[in-house]
Amino acid sequence: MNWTKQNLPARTVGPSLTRLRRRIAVLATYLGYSAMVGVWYMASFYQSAGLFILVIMLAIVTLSGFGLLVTSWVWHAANAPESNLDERQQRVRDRAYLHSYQAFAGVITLAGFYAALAWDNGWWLPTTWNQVQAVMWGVLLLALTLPAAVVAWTESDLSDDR
Amino acid sequence: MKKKEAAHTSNGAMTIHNRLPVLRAERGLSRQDLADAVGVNYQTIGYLERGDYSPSLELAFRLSDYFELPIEAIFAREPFKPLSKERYHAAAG
Repeated sequence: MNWTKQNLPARTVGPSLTRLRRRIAVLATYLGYSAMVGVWYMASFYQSAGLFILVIMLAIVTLSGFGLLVTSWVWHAANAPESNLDERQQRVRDRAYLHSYQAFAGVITLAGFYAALAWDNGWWLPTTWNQVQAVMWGVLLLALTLPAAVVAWTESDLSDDR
Repeated sequence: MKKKEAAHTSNGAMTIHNRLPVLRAERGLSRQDLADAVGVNYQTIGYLERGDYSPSLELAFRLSDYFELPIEAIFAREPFKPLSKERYHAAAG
């Protein structure tokens, strides 16, 4: 294949972040969402205004982490078409999808086991439409962001010196 | 005798040593210049130089063509001796 200016892989897109910042963004997205759902559940149970304010703050944390992931190069690295990635980036993306599949399959399997045990033992299961929605959005968030999160978590820092 | 262990990249592949930083410096090229010439992202050049990524045969050939050097003058499985030392010994020998 002849490399011309027309088929060069896209250059790095979005702000470059250190691995520490990328990892903070990943943790903010997933832990922020989990904490938000948990506090929202308690807030609706206790009808506490303070807890609702905490829910809003956790939503901001979650959205900030998610926004940072989506606008940084890791999103591009995980989701760009093959023609826009060079051979190393393609390898990074393929590895990220493999790890994402393993993690996602693990989470779904554990959730299935929990649901089966909860059904038999009377443990908590989502029963209202709002609770089902919280779980559904969580699964959607995980499915949508996991490959980018793996790239963000694993890629080492490199000098921005061009 | 203790068996010598080969160094490995972060993805488990054996480390391939290279002279890319020297060759780039000799020609006054930035990472971006070299990346544009061989059709990769400039960060990939950085990962190559650091030994964190081993290139495909195709990329190695592209680099070889670009520098007009045989592949073994750019990449090796053992660490390179400094070019100045090699050149001095060649001239003296």
